[in-house]
Amino acid sequence: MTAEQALDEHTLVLRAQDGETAAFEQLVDRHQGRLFRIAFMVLGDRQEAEDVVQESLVLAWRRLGLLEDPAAFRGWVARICSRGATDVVRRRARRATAPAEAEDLDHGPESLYRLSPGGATAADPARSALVNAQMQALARVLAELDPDVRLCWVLREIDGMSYREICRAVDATEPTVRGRISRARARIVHEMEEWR
Amino acid sequence: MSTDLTPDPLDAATLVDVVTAVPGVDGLEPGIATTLRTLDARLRRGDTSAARYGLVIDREAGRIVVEIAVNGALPVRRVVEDVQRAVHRAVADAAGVTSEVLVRVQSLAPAAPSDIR
Amino acid sequence: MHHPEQQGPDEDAAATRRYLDLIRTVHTEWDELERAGDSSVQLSAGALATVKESVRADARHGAHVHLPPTPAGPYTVSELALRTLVRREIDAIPGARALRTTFEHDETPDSATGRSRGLPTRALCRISVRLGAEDLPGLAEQIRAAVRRAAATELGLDDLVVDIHIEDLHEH
Repeated sequence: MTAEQALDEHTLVLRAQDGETAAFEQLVDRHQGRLFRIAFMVLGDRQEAEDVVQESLVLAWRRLGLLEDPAAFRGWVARICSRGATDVVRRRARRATAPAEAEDLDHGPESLYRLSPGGATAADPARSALVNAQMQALARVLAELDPDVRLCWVLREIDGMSYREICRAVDATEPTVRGRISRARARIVHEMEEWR
Repeated sequence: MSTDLTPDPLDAATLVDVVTAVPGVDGLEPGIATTLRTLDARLRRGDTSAARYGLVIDREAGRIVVEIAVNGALPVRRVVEDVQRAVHRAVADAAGVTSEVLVRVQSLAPAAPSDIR
Repeated sequence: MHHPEQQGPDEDAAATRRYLDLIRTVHTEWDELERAGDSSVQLSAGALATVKESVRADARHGAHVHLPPTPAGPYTVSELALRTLVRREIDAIPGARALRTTFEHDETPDSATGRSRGLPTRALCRISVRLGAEDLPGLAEQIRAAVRRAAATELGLDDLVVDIHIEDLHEH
């Protein structure tokens, strides 16, 4: 992000805080994709990821007045999103007792293979399908990780957050975060032979 | 307040009909309060019995939130009270428990008031 | 099947390189797809629209204002609805036209996000009057009484202080 772009976002945040919805909508446009990919990599399910991102953006609007430093918007909104995704993971864990869970059409293995809604995307449906498959494959490996480990890896590798921001987002020390990320990397490297 | 040990026969869809039938109500008008909770309900495997845009049953808090538009024919406070009583009646019939009914009036149709000056 | 302890350092380095390549490649692809509007890597158009509509509706409504509860329970009214109510009252008075009304409030009972207001304590009604209207003080008093009455009847607010500011004249 160039200095010019960063300044622009700073302005957008201030204007959104002032009540200008058009400014907030621009922030939505800029951040929704990366938030979706964070949520998707944590949850492995498109619909749930979408719900979490929608909720996070609406919450961000409501709480915008609480954000003191406009420059911190990026990390702040990602924190809201990771917390939302983590809540879903916890809820799943509480429910996932009976074997019937796995057969549930909404959250069973089939849902992890669902393509994007309508399939009709921009230029290349085949490419889109490939990306979906790739995202699914990555999400499957991640699903085997401890949720805390997974989240740290996602924030680092999918969102490019600094270690410090990740520590804030997950409320853990830097050694803990680094440890989790290297564990996740090692696991992914180990599993990688299955792809490509 | 009842715990969630038995399935709750109370359904948001039914309550929506109850609310929109009250004189003076122009319909549900979803606002942020119910939008957030409705999105949240979708996360629970498509269970929408507790939430609709404009109406949310919060079993844990023992509270029902209704977001409405009023049409201006009757005083706002009167319409609100009628909505609250109608919902209380419907809830009492269904589950025998009382919840607090919080009404959020989102908008008022700028119709002329009834008295002519 | 490789056993990790049998892998040499070269294989480790190669595996790490492949890993970093993968991460870099997926990012490049995803960014490109997002730019192209492909919904596999972002919110669907419908989901995006819902978010924006909710935000616009919220901004339009404004904060929610607490009012004295009815015998059957608590309620709030959006700032938008409150302004509409006063505007309607003023416009109904011959010779008067509402311009803008603002309110002062008691401290809010809820916390924190700035999206709620306490009981209204005072309304400042900026109005325009028709050219040729006589007895401006009388007209102002009529308006004040009408707004106070509406606040009591419609909202249960018995002690609203109402200030009228005549700041414009209009022909019709």
